[in-house]
Amino acid sequence: MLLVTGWVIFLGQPTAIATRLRMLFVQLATPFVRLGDYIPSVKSRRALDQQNRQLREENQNLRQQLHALAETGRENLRLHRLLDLKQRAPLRTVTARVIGRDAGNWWNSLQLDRGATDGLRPNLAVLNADGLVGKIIAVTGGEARVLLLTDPNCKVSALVQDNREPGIVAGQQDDRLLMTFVNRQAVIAAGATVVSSGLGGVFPKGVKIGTVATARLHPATGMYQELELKAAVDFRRLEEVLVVLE
Amino acid sequence: MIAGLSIVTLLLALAVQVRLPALWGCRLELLPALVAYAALTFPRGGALALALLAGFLHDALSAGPFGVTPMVYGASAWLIHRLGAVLHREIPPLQMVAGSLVGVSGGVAGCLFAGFQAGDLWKLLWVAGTCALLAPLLFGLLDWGRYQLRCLR
Repeated sequence: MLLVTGWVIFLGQPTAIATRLRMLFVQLATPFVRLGDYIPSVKSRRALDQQNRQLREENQNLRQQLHALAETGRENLRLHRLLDLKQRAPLRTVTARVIGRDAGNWWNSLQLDRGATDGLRPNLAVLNADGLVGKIIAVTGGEARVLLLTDPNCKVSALVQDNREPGIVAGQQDDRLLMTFVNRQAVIAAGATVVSSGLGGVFPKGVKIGTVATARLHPATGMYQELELKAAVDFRRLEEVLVVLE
Repeated sequence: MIAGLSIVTLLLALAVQVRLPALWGCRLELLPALVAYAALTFPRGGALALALLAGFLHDALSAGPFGVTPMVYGASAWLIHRLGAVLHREIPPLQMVAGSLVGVSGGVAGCLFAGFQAGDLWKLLWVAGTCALLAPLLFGLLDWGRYQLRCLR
């Protein structure tokens, strides 16, 4: 009984204690996770893998810049009369490789090979060439954990790109995304693109989240619409990602 | 030496677990079967220590709250150890039930903290089934390994 009580108290401890303990176990486990990079069958094509990785990183950067430019163009059409508007600075990013997935079945997360020493910290957005991937929730010296968009605990403020209707996107497991609290009278076409709104200060504005698959009124209350989205990112095949530093 | 090898085995199993791709959205969990093995093989202190270590390592490489899995793994290991005193550990169905128990306990705790979602029942069944199937395999492999170590000494 004392043990259970002590454990419950431990679970309620300030994050600093749990974080330090977690960092210790992550540093113990990560070298074994990285052992997977040195399996002989992988070693024999390492040079090709490296070149492939470099080309994919460059491709991701270019595609992300292209998408950002399209969104910037739309913004300029709306704001061209505001001459005192600050110019949007390009995103400063760092590329990271996925070295592991969540150890369990109940959360959707990734482990990256970059950490605090590379400038990473919690609540940084993570994306790739296709769109928004998630956000960093924990960091140690040399690795970081990313909570994926498909996890129900990861929520993003979003907009339907065409008509700028706002809503909240959250994961539904199995790589499905659901956008809720959309105006019940908004006309949403299937195939409409959904992007991040930039509200909340974590996710940059204009990053693609997905496309609308179906739209329906909330079944219980009918007070708002729910949009089922097809994610822009293939979360099962993530290998490299971009972490937005600012 | 056994303690060191046990810890290395745990770490290697975890490393494999996080690198393996998911099948139909479900991951293969190796740690529950290892916890069940430790509970039925080692003295109570060692079994609990390994169960807690497995739980802490699992939570370190997961987005879940830190400390939940060692609690359920520790409780499961304690319970299995108590039952193991009266049941024969060599019986494969017992090994399967033990592995399944640890896996499901971790799963239920995960569901409680992550929130129940559609499809979680399927995942729980998957975890129960795969842990049950893995347990006798791991028991056989690790018992063989321990026997070889004893012969080397």
